[in-house]
Amino acid sequence: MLKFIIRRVAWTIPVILLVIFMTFLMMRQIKGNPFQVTERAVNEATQRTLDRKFHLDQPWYIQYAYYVKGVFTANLGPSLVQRDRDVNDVIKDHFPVSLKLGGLAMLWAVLVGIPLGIIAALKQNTKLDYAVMAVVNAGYALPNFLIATVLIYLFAVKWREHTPFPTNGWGGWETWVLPAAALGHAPMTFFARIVRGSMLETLQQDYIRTAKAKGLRWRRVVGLHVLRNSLIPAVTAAAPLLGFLITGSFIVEFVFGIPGIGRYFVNSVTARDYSVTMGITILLSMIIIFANLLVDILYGYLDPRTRDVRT
Amino acid sequence: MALLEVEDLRTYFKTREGEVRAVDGVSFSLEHSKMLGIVGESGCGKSVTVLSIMGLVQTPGRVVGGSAVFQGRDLVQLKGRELEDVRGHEIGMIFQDPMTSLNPTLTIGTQLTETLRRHLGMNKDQARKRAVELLEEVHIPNAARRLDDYPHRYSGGMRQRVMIAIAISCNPKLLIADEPTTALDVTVQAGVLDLLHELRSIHEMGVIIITHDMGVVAETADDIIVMYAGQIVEQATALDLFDRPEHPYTEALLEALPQVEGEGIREGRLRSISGRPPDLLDPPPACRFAPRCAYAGQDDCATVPPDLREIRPGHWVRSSHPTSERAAAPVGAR
Amino acid sequence: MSKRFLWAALVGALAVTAIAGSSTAMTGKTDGSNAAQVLKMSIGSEPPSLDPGLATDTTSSNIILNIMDPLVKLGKPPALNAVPAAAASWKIRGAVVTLNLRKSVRWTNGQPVTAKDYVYGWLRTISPELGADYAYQFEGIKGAKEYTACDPKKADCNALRARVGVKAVGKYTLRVTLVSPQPWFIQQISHHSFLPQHKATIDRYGSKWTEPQNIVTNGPFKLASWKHDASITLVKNTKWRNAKSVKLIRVEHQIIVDATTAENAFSAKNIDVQTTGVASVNIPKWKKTRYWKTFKALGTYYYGFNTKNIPDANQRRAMAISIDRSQIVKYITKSGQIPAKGFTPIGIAGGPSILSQSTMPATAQLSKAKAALAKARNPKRSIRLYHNNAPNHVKIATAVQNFWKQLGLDVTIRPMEWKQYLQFLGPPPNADVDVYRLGWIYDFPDAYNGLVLWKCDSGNNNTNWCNRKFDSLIDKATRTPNTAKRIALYKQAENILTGPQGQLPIMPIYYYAFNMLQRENVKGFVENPTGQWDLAKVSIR
Repeated sequence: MLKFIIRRVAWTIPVILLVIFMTFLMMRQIKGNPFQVTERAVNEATQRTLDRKFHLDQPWYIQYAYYVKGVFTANLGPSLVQRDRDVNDVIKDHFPVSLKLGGLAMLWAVLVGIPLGIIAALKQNTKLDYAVMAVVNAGYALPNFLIATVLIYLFAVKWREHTPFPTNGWGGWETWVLPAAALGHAPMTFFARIVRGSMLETLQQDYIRTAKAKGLRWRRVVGLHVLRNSLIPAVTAAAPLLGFLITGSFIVEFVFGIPGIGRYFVNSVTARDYSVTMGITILLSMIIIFANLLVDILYGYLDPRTRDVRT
Repeated sequence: MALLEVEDLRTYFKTREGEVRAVDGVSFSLEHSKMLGIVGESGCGKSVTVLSIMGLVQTPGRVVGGSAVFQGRDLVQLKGRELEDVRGHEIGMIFQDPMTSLNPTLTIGTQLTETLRRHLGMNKDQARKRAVELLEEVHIPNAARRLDDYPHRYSGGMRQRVMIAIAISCNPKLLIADEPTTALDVTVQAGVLDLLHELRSIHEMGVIIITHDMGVVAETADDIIVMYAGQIVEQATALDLFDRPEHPYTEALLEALPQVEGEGIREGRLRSISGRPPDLLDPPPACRFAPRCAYAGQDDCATVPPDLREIRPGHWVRSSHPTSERAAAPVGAR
Repeated sequence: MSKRFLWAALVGALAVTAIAGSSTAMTGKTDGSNAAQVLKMSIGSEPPSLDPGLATDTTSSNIILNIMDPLVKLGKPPALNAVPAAAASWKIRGAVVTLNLRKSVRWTNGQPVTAKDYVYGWLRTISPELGADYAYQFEGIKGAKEYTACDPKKADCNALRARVGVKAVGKYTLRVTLVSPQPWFIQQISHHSFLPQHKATIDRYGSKWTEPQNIVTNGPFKLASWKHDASITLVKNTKWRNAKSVKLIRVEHQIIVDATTAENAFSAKNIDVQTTGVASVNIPKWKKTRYWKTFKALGTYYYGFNTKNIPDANQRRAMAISIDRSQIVKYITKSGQIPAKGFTPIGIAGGPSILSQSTMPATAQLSKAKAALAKARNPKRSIRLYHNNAPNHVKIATAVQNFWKQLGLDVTIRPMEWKQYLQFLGPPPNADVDVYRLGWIYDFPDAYNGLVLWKCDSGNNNTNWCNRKFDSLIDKATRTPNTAKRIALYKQAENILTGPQGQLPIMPIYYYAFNMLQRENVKGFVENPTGQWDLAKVSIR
């Protein structure tokens, strides 16, 4: 297993090089001057100075070399647009926020979604099942900005005298609840559906009949035999989902005014802040790679059949 | 008193298209330490019969009537938790496909010891020790070491042995084997069957073995039941049934048996029974076998349902044309 | 096992939370005890920089100007005359401006603010090393342009630096030599680019000098905290020269980008002033409340013509007068904008006079437009209209498309992403562009700042239009200190653009307005026409 992990980690290096290269290429394909923010033209002298300062006057391969060097020395360079800040600052300040938001959303999704899925599956074709699945399916169809807006309106505006939740901001626990619920909603419904589906499938399996035939208590049949197998697809999906939650929280960050990395990422692209875009892309791709590694490890733990294949 | 007394057992499945009478009034009894074979084509209700006894029928199926008295208790009437105490403890069961009957994510040890701990109240160490003995008893080599393996490391035959070990782990009075060899390689089938007989005599268990293959039960069963479309069509001692089959369906099943000739190489294919089992949503109105029966002619086969009758002591048949009452050759050509 | 797994998931997630660290950023919820003289407000973006040399936007500018003490402030509109602030007085002789600094102005570390701090700051801003966008603001100063353009590898930049016309001629006397008299210069130095900078701090902390723990300022408020992209808190600087006139003891800015979010925060009473903006659909609702405030802005929303593609001024006139500006401001922008009469904003000093002969109608003049089009030689009937992609621009373009349809013009609307759009426009613009949308917000309150865009060599002239007479009028204005005479020059120039015989390289559409929501207990919160608010004059009732 250790060998496997080391090999996988080593593989991330060429992958990241490729990510840098592709992001670099794509950023250069879209036109636009990072130094012109408004319609006011940048005068020529300033433009030249800035190009020189940020190496934009160099051939692309020199620029690429600068980036690669920066990545491997953990110095991602200055922001082209937010002139007082380095990419490292941006990541240091804003990534923990997104990490926390994504983690809390995941927690919400897991703690609510999985039990809902289990209940729906165990009570299949009862009113409870229909009620849960109606909520889940309706919820799945709703975009998270809509959910966020509704949550804010209800809990932070309309009933504000009775709840501790603010409309926006990021600080104590009371600021986390609504954003985490809004962001975690889609994965929550996802977990509920996937767990319900795999539970129902697992319940039909021969080995569950065996477990019952062994006279095991129903609690143990569900809790061990059914759940363990039903959770495999959920776990497989969970890690990339966590990556997605950490990296894809842009809209929720926007609506709740949360200073996360997602907003920066999107803004950096529109602002042509090459170094920030690049830095965040690398960070996010590392998260995704790490998340997938985690899945493989977890998968091996949950499904012993895959272990032999790998080691 | 018989070990198991099944009386007029009825298990119906409510489906969108209608009610399927999978088990439609089955009665039989099994004495201590005896072996009963239930034979029939797939879909005839033989598996549902034993699942009904075990309380393992899945929705939309439901036992709607009858009783299954096991050591004085009617299993059909038992509450969920009481039934759980019987299952795996007093009645062991093994299933057709050993490849899917073991949980792939748990070690053999876990799956073996959980029954011991559940029913016999053993602690972890006791259960482990007993589990090793059980694996040895079913002839798994290096039992102690293999305890921590996952099922995928075991071959099909070995898995069925593990299933058997689990089933007998609490010294049950009754072992139900639902097509125990069907999914296995021909080469290991005999081994598994031998093991069953061996254990049966050691543990003095009653055994119900379900099969579609007469050959499996021919030499070992004491009694045989032949089922067709949810009903028993013939019931007799094994010897009597093989010697003098009465029901046309039983005859056909016996003819389908491979005939061992010379070196054991057979020529040609097995003779299969022509026609298909009836649609249980809309079974034939009287004799359910009538549409496939070579002897059903212009008589009342299509109008009057035949009763299960004792054609001679201990030999029951449900047919208007049992062999011993037949004079002439078949009416219709096959 | 199941329990163990769930617990593992729970613990894992909590660990993630713990690793993420607990920030204690300011949040929107008020604790109810609305401490007197604390202002809570929203701003629409993270200030890209609080460095006076690097900041280019109004958000940054509004923070900087409240923690710093500019040389002069702008008086009441429309004149917006320079009012002494950190400079007690000034003398103007031709192109030389001498400023006498107040001796009472102190840095927050107690040191006096001297003329050297200005010289250092200004030279730093225009230095080729810094690469400041707003170095152009200094182009009116002798030698500044040459110094900014210096390539350290090819020329002796220090020599050029020494030649820049900014000198400390005494501890508290600053002398500025301009390339021409430029009468607006005194108003111009109210801009944040012309603030002093504290050399020791910048030398010590480099690009991090604007962080709250490092920054040294000299204004009515101090930067107490800056949580990037979340909040900025200012506290009263009790040692400021005029501190007793400052009522607010603390100003909490929440950075809220989304209009709806900011509206919610306002509705929930988490903020008293909402400057983020209001979602278009909600404007009518807010307008009915007493919270809605509109302020005139010095800025013009306009369409430019690519005069290579539409060379006949008759066609441009037909297009310019066939649109209904009053409908656009009434039904699309909806928030206090005014139909533009010409390019120069009506609210600027001398505006009504400059625009007196301008011909852009508030309502459509269709028959006149048709007549004008009839006079055009080879009118271009298939028009490609470019704009950057934003909801209101789309709506306006669609309206204009319909107006022009009545002239028999077939208009194709081409929206583009902002940065690509800017590059696409040139100058010179891409040949595919017939008409484009842009706007102009004034940096300093003189008509020059807008009219200069239409000079032949202007970097903002995307029209391919070049008129020597226009250029000479603008150049002459830089040498005309007399206000009335200068306004007369502007009027001539404006007439070349939008007068009865105007060339119409552009068609102005409306004048911008600023909007915000203010709770009734906020007093004295005013946004001036250049988008500035002076928190030193705000109080809570």
